[in-house]
Amino acid sequence: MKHNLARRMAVGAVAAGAVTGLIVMVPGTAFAASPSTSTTTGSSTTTGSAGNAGTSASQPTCSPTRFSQAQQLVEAALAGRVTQLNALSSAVGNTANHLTTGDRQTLQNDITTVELPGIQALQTQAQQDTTCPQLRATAHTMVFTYRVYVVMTPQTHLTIVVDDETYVEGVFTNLEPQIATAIQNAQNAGKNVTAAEAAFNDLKNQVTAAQGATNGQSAVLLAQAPAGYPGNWQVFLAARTNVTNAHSDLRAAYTDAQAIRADLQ
Amino acid sequence: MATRKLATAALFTGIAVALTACGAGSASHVVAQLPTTALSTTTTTVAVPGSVASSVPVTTPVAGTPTTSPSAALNPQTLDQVAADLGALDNSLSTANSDLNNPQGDS
Repeated sequence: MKHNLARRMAVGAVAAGAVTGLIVMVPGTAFAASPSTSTTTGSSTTTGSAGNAGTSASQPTCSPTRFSQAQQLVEAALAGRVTQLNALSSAVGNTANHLTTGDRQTLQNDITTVELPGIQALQTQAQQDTTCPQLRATAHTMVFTYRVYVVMTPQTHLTIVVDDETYVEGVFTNLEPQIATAIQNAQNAGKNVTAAEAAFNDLKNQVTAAQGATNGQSAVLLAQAPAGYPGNWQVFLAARTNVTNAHSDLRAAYTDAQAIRADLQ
Repeated sequence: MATRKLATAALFTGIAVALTACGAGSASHVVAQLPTTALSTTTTTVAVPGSVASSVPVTTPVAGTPTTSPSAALNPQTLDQVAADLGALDNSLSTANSDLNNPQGDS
C-alpha cells in the first residue's frame, strides 16, 4: 500500500505541527489516537511528536509571552475547519450527486448537528481561553474529538463516490434488457452480432464487478467515527481501492456500449 | 428489413451521442447535445404502404415510434445522463483521492 499508516503518521505529524505540535503540545503522543498519554504541562518547551521524533526538534509553543500568537493559531485552525465542514455540507446537500436519502441524512446530521456546532463552540472557547493549558485543551479537542480532515472529509467524499457509482450501476442494469433487444433485433435482421454479444457480455460482467466493489461500502464508511482514527484510516484506503476499481469497471462498461454501437451500425 | 436497420441505427445514434458527450466530461455539454433528431430519423424513413411504385422519397413525418423499435424503450437522455454521471464521478473520485493523498495533518 502506497500510503501506509506509518508513513501517513510521519507526514501528518510534520504537516500538523503548526497546530497540534505547537499548541496541543503532547510530547511523544501528539498524533496518537488516545490523548490519555498526554504529558502536557504549562511548560514552554516540549519534545518531538511520535511521527517525527529524532528528525526534527519540536518548537517552543504556548508560553505566557506567546499566548496571543498561539491563540491566533488555534483560532485560524478552527476557522479552517468551519470552512471545511461548510464545504462538506454543501457537497452532501448537492442534489446533483446520487447520495441515497439515508446516507445524505446521516452525513448532513453528523456535519451540521455534531461537527459544526462542536467546532463553533470551540471557537468561542478559544477566544475565552486565557492560559496555555486552556488553549491546549481547546486545540486538543478540536483535533481529537472532531477529526474534520482525516475522518469527516474522506468519509463524506468517499460515500458520495460510492452512492454515485451505485446509481450508475443501476442505470446500466436497467439498460441491459434494452441493449439485448437491440442485439436480438439486429440478429433477426441478419446482422452478425458475435462481437456485439461479446461486448455485451463484458458489459454485464463489468457492471457486476462494480456492484461487487461498492456493495456495502457506504455503510462501512458511515460507521467510521472520529474516535476511530487512526485505525479507520485503513478503512478509507480500502474503500478508495474499491471505488477506484468500480470506477474502472463502469468506464469499461461504457466502452463496451460503444463497441456494441459500432458493431450494430 | 430496412426499417429495422434504421430503427437500430436510430437507437445507437443515442448511444453515440452519449458516448461522445462522455468523452467531453461535461454535464452541461451533454445536455446541450441531446439528440433531438434521433427519433425524427426513424419516423421520416418509415416505409409508407402503397408507395412501392412511386419514386418520390417519403418525407411525411410519422407520428410516434413503432412500439417494436428498441429505441422506443431506450431514452437517449438516460444515456446522456450516464455520461454526465461518469464525468461527475471522475471529479468526485479525484476529490476523494486528494483527501487521502494530501490530508491536512492528522486532524
